[in-house]
Amino acid sequence: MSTDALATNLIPDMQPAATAATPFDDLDSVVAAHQKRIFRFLLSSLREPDLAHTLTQETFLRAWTTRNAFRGECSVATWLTRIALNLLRDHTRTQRFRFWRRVSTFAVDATEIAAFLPHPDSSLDSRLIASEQMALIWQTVTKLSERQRSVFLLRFVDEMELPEIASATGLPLSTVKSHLYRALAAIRTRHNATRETL
Amino acid sequence: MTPHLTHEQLCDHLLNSTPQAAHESGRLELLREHLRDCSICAADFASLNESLTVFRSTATAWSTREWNRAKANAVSQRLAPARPRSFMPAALWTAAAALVVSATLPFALHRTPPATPKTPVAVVHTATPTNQSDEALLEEVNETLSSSIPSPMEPLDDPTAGRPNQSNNQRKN
Repeated sequence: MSTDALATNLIPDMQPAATAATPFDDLDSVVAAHQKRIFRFLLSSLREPDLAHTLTQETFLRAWTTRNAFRGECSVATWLTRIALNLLRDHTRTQRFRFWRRVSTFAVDATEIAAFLPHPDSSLDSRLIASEQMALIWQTVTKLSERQRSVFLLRFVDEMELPEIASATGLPLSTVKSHLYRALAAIRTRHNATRETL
Repeated sequence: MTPHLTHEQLCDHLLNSTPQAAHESGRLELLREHLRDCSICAADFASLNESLTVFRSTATAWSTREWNRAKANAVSQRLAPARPRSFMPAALWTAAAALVVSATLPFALHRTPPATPKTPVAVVHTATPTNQSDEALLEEVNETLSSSIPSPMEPLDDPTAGRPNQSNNQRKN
């Protein structure tokens, strides 16, 4: 075996990685295209604006540092979502995060989020009812399991298609669907209960 | 098909996922037909769909607000005049360190000697004047308390005492 061939076999990934162009080489355009979506997902998941900003920045930093691992098998959006999900999982599973979540006042309350309800023309009464319903939906989403919540937010906030969610989360499509069924069942139950009481 | 849509059927229609196969496409078409004909299922679907749409709107509005706020903060921090950061913290730390040293130095220098048999004798000798002054002070307090007129009100006991000029002036007027 020649020296060149030996070198190529020993470091098979180094030479193509050094030369192959990835979409992340133009990081500015990737950031401009995706940062608001990633931030929206992280904010909805965490309900802490500062932390969501930090993790958004970390998502793009990690995308840049691991750009050579991007093979183009999924879209850039899916790849970024996968990184964001990993960061979110790593962060929320630490004991420190759980402790501060218990005692923290930084997390935005569901009623505060519901204040962003767009109702430009409706009456005050209907706005209050809708706002109360929306707060209950946010509370229900908060109580979902971590995975159900992520899948739900990716579908109903980020409007990702189910195969994209399956790719980003690494779950089978059928599992993604069952998570969505359960999340929607919880929301429907709460939603119907509030409609009956109001 | 049951008289009304099951939860999964309603969700399938809500998720509106791209059908993967021909039979799924046919199934979704059947669901659409049912929703056209059944007002109860249609109302249920419309209500949930509307709630989810509004949910998305609130999430989008909230994240847009937070995003813009963070941008505005970043811009204001960039435009804010640079403050002399190096001097003030150094001066504060120096002052704090001097305060701590001045407070702890007397304690560090004044170390009481370890207890020896001679110590009680020394304490008795030094304590004697203190006891005497304490007793004198207490006696003075007792006298003050036992007197019929408190010392601050003694001038009032004799209104004319110490005011000869005033009485003369009054006579002149």
